[in-house]
Amino acid sequence: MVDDDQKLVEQSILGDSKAFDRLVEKYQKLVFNLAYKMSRNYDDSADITQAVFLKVYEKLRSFDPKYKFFSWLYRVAVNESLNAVQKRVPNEQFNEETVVGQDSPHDRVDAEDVSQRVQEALLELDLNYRIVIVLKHFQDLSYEEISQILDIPEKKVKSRLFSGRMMLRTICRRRGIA
Amino acid sequence: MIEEKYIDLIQQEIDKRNSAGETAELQKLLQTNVEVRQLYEDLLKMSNLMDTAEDVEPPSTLKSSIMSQINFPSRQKSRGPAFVRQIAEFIETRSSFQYAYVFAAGLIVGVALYSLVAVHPATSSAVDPESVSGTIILGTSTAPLTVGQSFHTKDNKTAVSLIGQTKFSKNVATIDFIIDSNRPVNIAVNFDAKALTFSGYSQSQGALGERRVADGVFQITNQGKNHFVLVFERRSSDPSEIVVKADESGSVIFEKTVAVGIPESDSRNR
Repeated sequence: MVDDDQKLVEQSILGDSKAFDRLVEKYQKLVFNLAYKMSRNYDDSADITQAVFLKVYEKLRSFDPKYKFFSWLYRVAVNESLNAVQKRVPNEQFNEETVVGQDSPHDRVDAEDVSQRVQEALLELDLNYRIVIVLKHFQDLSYEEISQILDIPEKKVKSRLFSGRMMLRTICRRRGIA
Repeated sequence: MIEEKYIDLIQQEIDKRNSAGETAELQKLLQTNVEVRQLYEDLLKMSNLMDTAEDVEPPSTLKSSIMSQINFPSRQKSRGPAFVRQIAEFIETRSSFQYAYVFAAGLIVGVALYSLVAVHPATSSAVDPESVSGTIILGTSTAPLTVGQSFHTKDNKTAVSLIGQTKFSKNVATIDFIIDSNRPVNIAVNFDAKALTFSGYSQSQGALGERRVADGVFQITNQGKNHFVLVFERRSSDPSEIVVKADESGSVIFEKTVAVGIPESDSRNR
């Protein structure tokens, strides 16, 4: 798969639009969903995905083939998502300080949309924690891969993941989610 | 307060990273510590909920929208021999080593050009740009080089003279010039590194001192009448400029700016 990507990258650099088309086809859903889980906004996610691939094409010649293409793509996608979400009118985001003492369950939810509500609750998380949870749970990446993409030590990945989960647990309780 | 060690065990269990021994240790703890068990169950439930979340389908027009915004260069078919094509493609696609490969390729070109020039040394002040034609193999283009700007300047005080010409194709640019000086002078060929990547050079005779290429400048010390050909890879189709500067002990003798990427007829009007 990685070799295939490398070949498609090389062909794209040579001006083969079909090769780049295949890369877009292969990864657009992944990038779109990363953006969507970060923003929960369908239109924004499409814009972010578009920006990611345009940037990737623009920087394709600087891509170092000793790295995996998808890791590089992820890094661009994460940065674009974070930038885009930060530019939007900020929601009240939770960090470790604001979360304390806000357990007040209300707004009961039906079982079938619990998962959706948990994802919505994610939006209250500070971006540093949100991105780690999104990469771990929705993109199914390992600690090591997250560490590479975010360029932070693996230990920090674990600690942010735990803190993020704890905050999310509190938010879910407050929202009356399960 | 739950010990960090147990927090690690809980998190790793949720992420399926615990060894059998660690799982057993956690299970034992869960049976005896209510606080740990509550935390584990909450986090596990929440994680499971997130893990089961389904992906969202992107808009069906997303890919076409992306592709329509990219201006792909027309893919040129090389008409040269297969090995030339392979070399060119190899250079073009190894982006991280591109400059090194291009430089190496340039040196090879330089050696080839040197042999040509050495057999037919420049004996007059007239540059024979044709000696360069057909020897540049960088990029995917085998199109003949277009003649660009011709230039000639002479400093009467020092009698140092410069005559030359630029040539270019879509991917390649050359500057071909003869410097004539009866004493050592420093020659600096400044180019826009954003527009041109230095690929190699050749010279008709030995020149003094070291040749240096860095940050958009090729430097050499010249004495006598020497013929130089510098080869660049063009990074964009926009015209750019090369400045040939001669100085002696820091005192500028002349500075000549020449255009690259503009046909001879147009450059005459500049």
